Amino acid sequence: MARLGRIRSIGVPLVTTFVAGALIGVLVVSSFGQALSSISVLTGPQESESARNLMVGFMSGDPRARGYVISHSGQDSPRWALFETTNAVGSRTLELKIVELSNLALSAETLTHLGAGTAGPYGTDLYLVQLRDDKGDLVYQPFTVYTAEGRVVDVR
Amino acid sequence: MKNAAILVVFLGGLVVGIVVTAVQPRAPQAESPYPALGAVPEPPVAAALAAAVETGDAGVLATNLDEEGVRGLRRAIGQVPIIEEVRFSGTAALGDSVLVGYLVIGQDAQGPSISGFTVTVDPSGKVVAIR
Repeated sequence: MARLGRIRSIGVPLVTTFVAGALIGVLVVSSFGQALSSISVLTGPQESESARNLMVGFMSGDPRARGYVISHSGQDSPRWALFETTNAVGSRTLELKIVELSNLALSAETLTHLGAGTAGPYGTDLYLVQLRDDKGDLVYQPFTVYTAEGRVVDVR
Repeated sequence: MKNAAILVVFLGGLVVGIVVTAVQPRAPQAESPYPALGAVPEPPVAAALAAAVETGDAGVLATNLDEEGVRGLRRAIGQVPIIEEVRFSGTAALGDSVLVGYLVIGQDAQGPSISGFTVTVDPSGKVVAIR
């Protein structure tokens, strides 16, 4: 009986201390989750949801997503080069060109997420897209999607 | 001795609380309707190139890259002036070629900075593009 009492006198405070530590741990993650998410050991490199939404929109021909990607990425394939040359002409031409390019008969083939990483509030997701153009040629284009606090801020 | 034991138990609880909360399953992301290309092992030439970027080994870069490759690399990593790490992120098999992704992590004038680049390696093991 005395032994049981002794175990209780030691065990209960230890359990209480452990639970208190665990609760503080939960609070820390809840409060600073964004910063902790950059510790890949804890969370693993995760694909940004906004980056994925943008790229899926791009692949499906969503004019806004496709226009955003095309206008931000200074890619050097013929399609994007065509866009680059119009970039300096003027905003109205730019808008028209975005619409024109957005309506191109590019059929989506594959979308591959090559990985993601974070540094502080900034993130980067790497993608490889494969599209079939109106001539039936398969073209591929890697894209780097930049995010800040989970929101897409640039594509290259 | 007793205080030390309490501290250890407290820290143990803290770590468990952090880990359990951090790794708990998140809401699953929507499945992409588009198939992904398969992954293959990282080609050694791309790994050597990434290591050279990290260590600033101009000799290796000059050996493996032509002028266009150097320009592509400069465009890709230009926004991370102080490179701390170049991390392999994944590969995709493009027919017989391989596209390899790397993340460049470091600092700029404002603080932490991250960028990325891809290396395309042809079947002969030569780097043919960097973007």
